[in-house]
Amino acid sequence: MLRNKIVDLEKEISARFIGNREAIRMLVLNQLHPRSTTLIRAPRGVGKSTLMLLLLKGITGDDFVVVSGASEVKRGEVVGRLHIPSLEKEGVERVLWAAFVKSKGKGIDELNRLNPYTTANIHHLMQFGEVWAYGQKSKVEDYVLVANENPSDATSFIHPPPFYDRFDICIFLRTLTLSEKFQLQELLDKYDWNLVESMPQVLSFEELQEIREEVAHVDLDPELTGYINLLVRDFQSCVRDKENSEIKPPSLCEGCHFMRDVCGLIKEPVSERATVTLTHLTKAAKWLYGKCDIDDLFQMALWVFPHRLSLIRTRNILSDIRDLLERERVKMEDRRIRRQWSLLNELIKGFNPSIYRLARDAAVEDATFAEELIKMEENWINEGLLKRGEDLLTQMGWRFPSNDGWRRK
Amino acid sequence: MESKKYRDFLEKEASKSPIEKKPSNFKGKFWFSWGESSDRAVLDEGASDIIDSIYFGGDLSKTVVMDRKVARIIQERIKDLEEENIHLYKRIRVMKIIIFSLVATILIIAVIILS
Repeated sequence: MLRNKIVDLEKEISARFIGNREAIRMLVLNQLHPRSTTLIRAPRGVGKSTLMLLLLKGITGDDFVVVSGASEVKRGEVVGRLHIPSLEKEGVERVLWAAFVKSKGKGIDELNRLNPYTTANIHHLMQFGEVWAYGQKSKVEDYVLVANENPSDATSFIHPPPFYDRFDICIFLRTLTLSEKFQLQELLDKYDWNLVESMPQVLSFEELQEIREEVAHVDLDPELTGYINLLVRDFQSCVRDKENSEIKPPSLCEGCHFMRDVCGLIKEPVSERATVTLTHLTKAAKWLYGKCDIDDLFQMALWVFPHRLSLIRTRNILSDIRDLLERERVKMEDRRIRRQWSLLNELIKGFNPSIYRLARDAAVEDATFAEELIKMEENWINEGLLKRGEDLLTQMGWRFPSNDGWRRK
Repeated sequence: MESKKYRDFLEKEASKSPIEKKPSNFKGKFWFSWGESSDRAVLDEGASDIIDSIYFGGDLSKTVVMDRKVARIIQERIKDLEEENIHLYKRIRVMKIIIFSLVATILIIAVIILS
């Protein structure tokens, strides 16, 4: 019953929004966990605001508020303002919390034009689920937040990367093909040129919360959880500790053995929030479709990574990340062929010199695998099974942030 | 302390591509061999796994057939090696120039001192 409602929501949106099927699917899937946040990026006139309004209307009916970065939005309109009569008559500072704070559906149009002060308030709301004004705090209940922006808009504020990191996914919309333009014209005629007004409320917010509760209890098998963690780790790991280095790739990678690996193409790695979001999405997919495999996971990663990382060269962020994910698939296959996880599985049970030698050979070609092996080496050194100096870390001269280097001195 | 899910992940992956452990003639020692992978791509009869031959020195059959993923791995490897080769060649050239200039400097200094 509840599943059908989500399927209907996707159908109703798709019936009013031409093309971009995968984007719509991801948009709907991302609503199935508490305090969902979605960013829509597209050039002007492609339908960012329309898609945002269709979703908000489909879930919250009329209980949604949209603030626009294009107009002069002040803190009072987004967070709250002082109730002047209370102050004048009683001398009490009473805050009237803004409709944006209280509404279940929150929309932000042209996010990139939002001034830094308002952005900071929204950032705090997304981070802590609360807002502050005049020394008073208001807890923000569960919500659906959708924002949109045109990244090539010249009149933009540059918002900090941690702010964008708070958005679970970032979906990109494309312009319509020739035949799709005909479809859109027919659709506009059908709905009397008002697509948003025609959108029905498909489910209540209480039903959505019930769904979110059910999705949270979905169990993921260790294989899928493993692949999520592996995928994110491969997009983070660096033997030269780029996370804490002032010098960033490609300069940092000069002469590095892994220069041509996925890590060498990423300047700023993804955060742990990528893992959380991928877990939410895979749970949602499993709840909705009854299954979620590694192909689905890679498909999801395409919408989870773009706003969270920066590459050493960006031509087209989506196709660049697609290329990286393709390389990642090859790498995972390579690991399987080399039986790397089998080797690690044996070593975790106990030290064996023959298996250790094979694992070392594999580790030289794989930073993520090496990290795990190095952690085990530390234990073996302490147990006297391995001599200091024979370990991978000393011999290769790598600096992993996960390694407790100070203990070695 | 390792997470249970992490151990389960390793177990699951290991069961898909196992390594076999057999006791050897030497006391307390074992032979390790690559077990049959359960989810490996099915190749036509007579096909050889080129990766096994590269990494484990297995003999190749008369005709070598490989799937796209394996071809991609080899392609990537060759590309990387070629790039590393070019990089090293450049370094060698720079080193040669440095060595020649050092030798020349030493000779000039030697001539100056002797004269």
